[in-house]
Amino acid sequence: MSGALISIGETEADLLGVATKFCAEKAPIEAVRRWIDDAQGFESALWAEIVSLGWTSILVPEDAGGLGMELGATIPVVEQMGRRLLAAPFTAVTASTALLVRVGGGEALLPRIAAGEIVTAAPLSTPFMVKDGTLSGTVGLILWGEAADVILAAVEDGNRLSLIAIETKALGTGALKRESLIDDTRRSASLTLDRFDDFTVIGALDADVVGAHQLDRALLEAADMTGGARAAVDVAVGYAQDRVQFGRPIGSYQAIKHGLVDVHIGAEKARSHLYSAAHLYGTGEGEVSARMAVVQAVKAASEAADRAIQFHGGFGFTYDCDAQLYRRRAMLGAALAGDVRQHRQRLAELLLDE
Amino acid sequence: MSETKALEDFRRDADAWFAENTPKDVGFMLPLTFMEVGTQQQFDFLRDWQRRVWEAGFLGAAWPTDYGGGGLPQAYQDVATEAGKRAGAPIMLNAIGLNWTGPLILDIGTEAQKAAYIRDILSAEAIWCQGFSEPEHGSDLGSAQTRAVRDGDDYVITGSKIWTTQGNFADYMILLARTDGAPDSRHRGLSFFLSPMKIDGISTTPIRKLTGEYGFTQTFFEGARIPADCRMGAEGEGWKIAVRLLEYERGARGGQAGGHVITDQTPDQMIAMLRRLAGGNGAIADPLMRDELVDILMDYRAIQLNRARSAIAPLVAEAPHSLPLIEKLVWTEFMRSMNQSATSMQGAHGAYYVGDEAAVEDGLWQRAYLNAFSATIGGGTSQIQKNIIGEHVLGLAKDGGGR
Ligand SMILES: Cc1cc2nc3c(=O)[nH]c(=O)nc-3n(C[C@H](O)[C@H](O)[C@H](O)COP(=O)(O)OP(=O)(O)OC[C@H]3O[C@@H](n4cnc5c(N)ncnc54)[C@H](O)[C@@H]3O)c2cc1C
Repeated sequence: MSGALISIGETEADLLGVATKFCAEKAPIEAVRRWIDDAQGFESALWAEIVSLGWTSILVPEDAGGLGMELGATIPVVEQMGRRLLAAPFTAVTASTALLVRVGGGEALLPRIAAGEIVTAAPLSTPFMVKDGTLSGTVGLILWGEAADVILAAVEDGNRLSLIAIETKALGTGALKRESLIDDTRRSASLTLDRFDDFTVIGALDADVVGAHQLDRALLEAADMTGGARAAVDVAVGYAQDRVQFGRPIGSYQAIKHGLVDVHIGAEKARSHLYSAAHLYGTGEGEVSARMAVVQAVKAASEAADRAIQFHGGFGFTYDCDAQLYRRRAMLGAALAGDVRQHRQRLAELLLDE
Repeated sequence: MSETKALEDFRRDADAWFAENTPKDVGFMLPLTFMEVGTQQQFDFLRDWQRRVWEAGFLGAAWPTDYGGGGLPQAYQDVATEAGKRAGAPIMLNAIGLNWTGPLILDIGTEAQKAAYIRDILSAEAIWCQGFSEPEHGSDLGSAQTRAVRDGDDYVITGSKIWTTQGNFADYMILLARTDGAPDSRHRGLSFFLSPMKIDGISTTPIRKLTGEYGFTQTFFEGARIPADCRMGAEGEGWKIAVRLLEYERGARGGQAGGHVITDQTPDQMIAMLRRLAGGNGAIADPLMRDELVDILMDYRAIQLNRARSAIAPLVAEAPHSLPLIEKLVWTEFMRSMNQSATSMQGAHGAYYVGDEAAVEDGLWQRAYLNAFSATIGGGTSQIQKNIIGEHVLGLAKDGGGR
């Protein structure tokens, strides 16, 4: 029966099992800390392993050598990466792949993605301007831009919006500049172009595709934050079990215990909404379930990591304490997922007016 | 005939039966929950209603046929329970018998206990109440002080229970009493009894509830004699049995007879009410109200999803007990808060209560809000649920109370 609000297929359940184990093994917190200090921000060898697991082929259509699955199938992987703060361009590449499939015309790029090349997308809301067939301007928040092989971007010509691809090796030095992000476990770059003409047009962008891409990205960030919410609860619980004050573990005090139960429940709700969205995405119920997943993930991850900082006391205020890593990753996640107020407004329309 | 076909037929029969038999207007206020039952009129009506539902085969459908059940798989009873809810049928009266005492007896009771009690629980012939809470010991149930002193073939019971739902109607009580002499031995001194109620030495005094009506009772034991074979389990094992019973009560353990014992309001009903109040085309325009409704709809959906997810093994692999243990807290707090929003969103209409012409839907939402506390307090308060979740799901150290 298709009526269920939540369900998980066999392939997705297998993916969840493998991803849970893989991310826990490959991204212990010491590795996360190492990647933070690394200029590239992730390990190429780890990326190669992710590619060899076939995860970058999940969305690539079968005729381009991939699995041709829906975005929902990548959710278990992204959730587990978020949980371990794993640094890799997976979410960016996944969002770009989904975008290429939506737009059509990315036939040349899709097999390269399956093979492990890094294709990332600039936000479509900030297009480059076209003048005399060349591009100029600066666009920021290009995730993993410096490591990318290809950058997708929107370009505006008159009132026509198109998607183009730029091979990063065609860029002059200094065109890409690392940005200072709230989240140290991820990287982004700005791209400055000046009468640049070495790009390929992929296809036209209409409002529907732009909207769908933004929801794709929001759902992927929701998965990352849902994993992060779980981890933040676990980190805070671990400390509350160990830390003793007034002769008792602090977790025995209800101000702490009940606060942790509240964020635990928030994380459980987020996970239910997330896997419902993964199941329903692309159906008529997809938009409602995805926006609910985003709203709840932002709330759960923000509150869990916020309490995790507070419940570590003075240590919580340090860079060494992991709580801040989850809080700051969720801040970037929330920004990338789009304003929660707008998701809520749209939900009100969908649920109350239509 | 295939299993699904048989189940579909059962669903159709159940829908048809409830459509035909659900009373339209009984001429008096029907209780929203088994804890709201107060008048003899309500009691008599609901007792008869439960018997009819059972006779039709839509209650206890999954319980063993030897004791009056239907002997069918659980899915059948679930279908019947849903059909009753859908039809807006009255609640099942004998909740404490059907949903916690019955499953407990079927689970760990003796053959004699099963034969003696189960059928009458289903038919509502014998009504059960619960004697756990005492005036001085509620959340701290393990410190209960009511005494059961062995005297030959009897136990002599002395003390008082309180907040006894349906105490003045009940034929039997599940009773937690102290058999150990030492007053401070706590859990170890407790024993569990299936006690008759209509005997010398037991009396009940109805208590007036926050809604203004009389409902639950204080129950007094003044040297009441009950046969020793009323004891369930060994002397001193009462706490263990009580904890198991609470798992049935809180829905963390399955095997209940079924049938709804609480009529829950839904967000859809709430929105329909607001649209009627809004008049015109029924649009809900206020942005703050809209935003609050988004929260309500999301939380309601989350609860349904949590329930469904708890049965999907790969999605609960790491912490299988979490979702069942958070259910009571999340659900009862949601109902309280939704009903509260529903009353406040009525604006000035929110001022009226049951019986006034100006009350919206005869004060249903005000009444539902006040009654919602019965579930956030009864069965272990929300604060106690948080202790349980913190300790048993998150693994945090026990509460400082020294239990
Ligand atoms: C409608 C209704 C029906 C009921 N029916 C029955 C029944 O049939 N049979 C029966 O035996 N009982 C019944 N009860 C009683 C119910 O189980 C108790 O009221 C409940 O367990 C709380 O106990 P108490 O009333 O003594 O409150 P207390 O335990 O005194 O609690 C007072 C407040 O303190 C909080 N509190 C207490 N201990 C702690 C702690 N350790 N940490 C944090 N907060 C704490 C509580 O949450 C509550 O807010 C019913 C109650 C209601 C409201």
